[in-house]
Amino acid sequence: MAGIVWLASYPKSGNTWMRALLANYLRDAAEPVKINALGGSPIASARQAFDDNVGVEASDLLPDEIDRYRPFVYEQMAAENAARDQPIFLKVHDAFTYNADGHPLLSKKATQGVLYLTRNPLDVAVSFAHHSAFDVETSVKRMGDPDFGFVSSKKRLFNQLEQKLLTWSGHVGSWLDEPGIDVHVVRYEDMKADTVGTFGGAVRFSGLEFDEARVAKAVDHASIARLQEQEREGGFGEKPFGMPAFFRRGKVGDWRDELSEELVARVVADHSTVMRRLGYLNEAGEVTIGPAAQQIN
Amino acid sequence: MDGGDAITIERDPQADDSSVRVFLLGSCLAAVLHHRQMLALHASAIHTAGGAVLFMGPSGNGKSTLLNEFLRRGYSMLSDDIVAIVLNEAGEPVALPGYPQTNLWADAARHFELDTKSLHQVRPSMQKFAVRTHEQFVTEAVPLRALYGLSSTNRDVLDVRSAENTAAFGLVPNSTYRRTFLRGLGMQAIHFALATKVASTVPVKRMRRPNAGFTVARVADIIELDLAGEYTEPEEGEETSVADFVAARAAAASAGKAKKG
Repeated sequence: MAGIVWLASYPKSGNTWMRALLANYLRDAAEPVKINALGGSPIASARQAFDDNVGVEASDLLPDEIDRYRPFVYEQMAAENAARDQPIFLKVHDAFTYNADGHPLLSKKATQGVLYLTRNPLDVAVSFAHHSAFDVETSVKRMGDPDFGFVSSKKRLFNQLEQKLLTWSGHVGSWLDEPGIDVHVVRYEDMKADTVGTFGGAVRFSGLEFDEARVAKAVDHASIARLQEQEREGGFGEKPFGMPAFFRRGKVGDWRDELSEELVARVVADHSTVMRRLGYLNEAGEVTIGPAAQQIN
Repeated sequence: MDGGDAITIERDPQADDSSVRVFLLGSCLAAVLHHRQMLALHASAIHTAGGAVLFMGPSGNGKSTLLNEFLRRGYSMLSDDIVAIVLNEAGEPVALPGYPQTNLWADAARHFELDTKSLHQVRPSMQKFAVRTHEQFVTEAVPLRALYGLSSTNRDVLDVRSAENTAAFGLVPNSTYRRTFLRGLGMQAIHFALATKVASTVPVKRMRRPNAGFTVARVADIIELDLAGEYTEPEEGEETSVADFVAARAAAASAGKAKKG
C-alpha cells in the first residue's frame, strides 16, 4: 500500500534536485528526464489539484475553509494510489500545521513518509534572494518571520493556495518534531558530498526497489551541469518570472562571499538551536558542516 | 440533485444567502449541466459578430479579467466561469447564455477602475466582487466561433497558436468544469463525443501571456486581431514578447495611415 511521500522543505533546499533524481530513478530511461516533465509536481498547494479533488472551487472558499478541506485532498489522492506499489512523491513548502478542526493540513492518514530536505540557512538566505525579487537582508528577515508564507494576498487569485512557512527554524521543527509521521532528513550538504549514498538512502526510505546502477544513472542524469544545460536549452517552467535562471550554482558555502558579517550573526542568532541540531553549528558556535549533532531521523 | 431537474438544498442555519448562491451557481449548476448531457466548460464567453468566443482555463488563468476587458470594449457576454454547450438542430455546437454577472477580484476591479465599495461581495469577507452585466448580456444560444485556452508562462511571451489536432482534442475535454463528476454520473462517453465534436468543428487555439504584470488589454488586442484574420502566428520555435507585439502593431498602424494618406 503506497501513500504520499512528501518532499518537504523550506524553499531553496534541494527539493527540485531531489525531484529530478527521483524522476530519473523511476523512469530509468537512457536519456535524462526533461526538467519540464518532473514528477513531484504539481506542488501540494496547487490550486487545480484542490479544485479537482474537492469538487468546489478554492476561489469560492475562505482561507480557513480551504485549510479545512486540504487534508481530504491528500487522502483522496492517497486512496486512489493505494493499489499501486509506488508512493506519490509530492513537493511541499508548507510547514506542518493544523487547521481549525485540529487536523493536519497534510493529512497523516495520507502520509507514507517524509523526505525532509534541509540546507544550511546561511546558504538558503543567499539562494532565496537570488531566486526572488528581493535582497539577502529581506530573505534573512523572512526566514525569521513566524508569519511568513506564500500567496498570502487575499486580493487576487494565484495558481497556488496560501502556504504558511513559519520561520526557517519553525519549519524544520514543525516537520521533525511532529509525532506519528516517519521523517527521513536529507541534508543538501550530504547530497553534494555523497550524492549516490545520500540519494540511495532516500530511495530505500521511500520503499522503492533499490538498484545501485539505477541510482548511479539517476545521479548522472540529474547532475547540476545537466540540469543547467537543459534550462539553457529549453527553459524551466518553474523559474520565477524575470530571474535569469533557476539552476544557479548549487554550491555549498556561497554565504561566505555573499553575506555580511552582520547578516551571518543575525541568521545564527535567529536559528542557532536548529542549526546545532542539524550540524550547521559546532559546539564552539562556529558555522560548520559537521555531522548532525544529534539523531535527526 | 435529482436527475438534472431538481436541486434540494439543506441549508446550514448560519449560512448567508451569498454563500449559498455561490455554490449553487458553481458546482451544483455544473452537475445539472452534466446531468442534462451538456458540455460544461470552465470558460468565459463573449458574443462577437461571428459567434461565441470562449476563453478556457482553470481558476487563476484570467478568464474573468479578459471577459471584463471585452465588456469594457463594448462586447456582450454569454457567461462567466461556466459555459454550457449543446448541439443545435443542425448539429452545430452552440453556447448557451448563463446569467448576467461576472466576478472580479479586488486587484482586477482596481485595474478596471471600478469602485469596489459600490459592488456586492461574492461572499462576506471575500475580496471578490460581483459585477452586474444586464446591459451587455445575450439571452439566446450562439454558435461557437473560436475557443482560446488561456495560459501564462514565466517568459516574456505573448502569442496565439492554433492547437495541433491532438492538442486541441485534449484542450477541450481538459477544460471541462468539475470533470471528476462525469465518472460518478457515468457520462464520460457522452461527454467525450461532444467534446470531440466541438474540437473538430471549431478553431481551438492556445493563448500565452507572461505570468507577471497586467497584460489583459494586449491579450484582448491579439484576440481581436486573430478573430479579424489579421494575426500572423509566430513561426515554430519563435517567441514574440509583449514589447514586440506592441511595436509590430504600432508599425502596422503607421503603415496603414501612410497608405491612406
